[in-house]
Amino acid sequence: MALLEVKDLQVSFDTASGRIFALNGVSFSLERGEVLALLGESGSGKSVTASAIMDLVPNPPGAIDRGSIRFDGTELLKLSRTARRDLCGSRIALIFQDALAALNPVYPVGWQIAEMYRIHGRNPEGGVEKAVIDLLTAIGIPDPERRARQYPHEFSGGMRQRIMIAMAVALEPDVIIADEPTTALDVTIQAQVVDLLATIRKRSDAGMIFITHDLGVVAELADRVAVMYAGRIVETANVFELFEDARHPYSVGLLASQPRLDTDEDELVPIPGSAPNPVALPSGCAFRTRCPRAEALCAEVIPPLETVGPGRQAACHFPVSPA
Amino acid sequence: MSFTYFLKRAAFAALALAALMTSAFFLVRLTGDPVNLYLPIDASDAARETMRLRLGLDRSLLAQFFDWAWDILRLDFGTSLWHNRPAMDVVLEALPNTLALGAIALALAFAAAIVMGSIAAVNAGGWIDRGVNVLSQAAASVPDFWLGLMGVLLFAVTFRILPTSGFGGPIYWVLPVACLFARPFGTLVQIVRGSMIEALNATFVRTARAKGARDGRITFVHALRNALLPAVTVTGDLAAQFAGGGGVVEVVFGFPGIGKLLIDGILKRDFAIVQASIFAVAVVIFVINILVDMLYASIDPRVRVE
Repeated sequence: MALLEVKDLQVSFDTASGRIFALNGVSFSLERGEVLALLGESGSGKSVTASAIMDLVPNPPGAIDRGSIRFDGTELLKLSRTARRDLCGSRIALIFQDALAALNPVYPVGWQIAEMYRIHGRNPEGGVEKAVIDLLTAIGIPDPERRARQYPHEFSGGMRQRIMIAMAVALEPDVIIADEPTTALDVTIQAQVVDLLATIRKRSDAGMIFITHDLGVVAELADRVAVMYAGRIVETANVFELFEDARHPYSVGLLASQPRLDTDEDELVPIPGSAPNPVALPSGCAFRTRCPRAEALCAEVIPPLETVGPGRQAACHFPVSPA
Repeated sequence: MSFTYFLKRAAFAALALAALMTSAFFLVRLTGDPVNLYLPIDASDAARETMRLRLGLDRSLLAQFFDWAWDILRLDFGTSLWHNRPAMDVVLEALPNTLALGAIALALAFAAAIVMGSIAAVNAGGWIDRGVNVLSQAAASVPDFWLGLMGVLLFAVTFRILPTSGFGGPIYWVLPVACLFARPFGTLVQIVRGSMIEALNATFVRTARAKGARDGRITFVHALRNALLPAVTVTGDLAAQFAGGGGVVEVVFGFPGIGKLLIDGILKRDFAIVQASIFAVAVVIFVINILVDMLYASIDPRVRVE
């Protein structure tokens, strides 16, 4: 049984210009000890997926219309609000993108990490204070006793992101969702944060969902990748398979449009057009208007996510043939 | 807040106070000659001259000013014409009444506004929010003299449960406090509601949810402290206004505060009382501003001055 299994998840939002379907039947699963990258451009539904798992979809205007999220055998969407709150933080934790906005500006960082223990009534050995200092030491914050008493604005961007990470891993959750944790950081700091996450995943058997649009980070950290486009998963594959042998035309385009060091091709090929307006998605396959392989069938039938090889799936009528 | 910072503030305050007291000196003398007010209409010119001489009003305005300034520097505010006692003594009897009245009304308004504003923000758009909105708009808009007179009519004249005016036990405080309470309450509810809605939509509130915090903790621990700053600023401004006396409310209820003393002082051309009142109120406002700054820094670490 998968640690986390999302099936046919549909999330929509009421907006001034009509009902927007942010997720149109998203399905994926996450195993213990696995890092799954959710890859896609902004607006593809990566963060909404994280929000749905964490019960953070604002209602109204948002609503989970159908689908299932099973965590460790329990259907989350059938749990009460309080039962889900109890899981959040303790068993499923979220690392936010912008740590400056995500940390409360008026409380010391040590207090905010300690709050994790307090909310869930945990009494770590040696006391909460010691646990916080140990965590800060573990994530590489120098002088942790003094730094614990400081406020978020007194830290650099990279340090703040480390504190977000310390908070998320404090109670040793089973699932860690990292929502673009490196996007707001300098490249050198990004590498440090990725290293820290890699260390954490080696030490624990937690499953990690890594949300990003950065292929470099995916290559470094992920075991498996789920590529998202317009609220759907269009391809899932082992990370090596995706880089070597992507099947969905969107994945192929995405790989061709980003610079890579492991190939000699020095020309970047952008995907023509832009991401579709979520209020008026194209009929059939949402990618067909930008797809070089599209045919008449693509406008009529939404391609289902089908197995195209051992452990890999693609949602395309005319997938790119194996290399 | 460092000591040098405090000294800097105090120096600026002293300059402002000097300018204020100078204007007060000249402005109060524009109200007219006290001698004409205090002596009977048929008093002899000799009697008038004697009184002028006694009050030092015979000398040139400039000479009077320098004498007066020298006295002020030694914190001698002169003698009240009407009370025939040192003016500052009279002022210091009235000032605590005003400060207590203002503090009680503001503290109640602040506390009530935090609760009502937060409840409205949590239920933004719902019927509770709309009810709170109507109530707070009404409270913020109703003129205090009208509220005072209606209060007297209802509770003192019709029901006869509260005194119309005067001073004494706690019962004499009910109507003045209620009148002063209304406007700050209404204003603060609107401000708390607005800043609470903003705070509740902030990313750090999402973080608190993701950490598993319950709604009460999210509202009152995470959002409220961030939403307090605007309310504290406005409360500080209102406190500074109230330090100058409950104005109309003190007059309506015959409440012996600094506002009533000041108005009476102007009417009676009691220069010493007017000047001493202005001085005392200015010092109180300075202290209030310092307190607000300190409160600010204690609520939000980002504004702490190094």
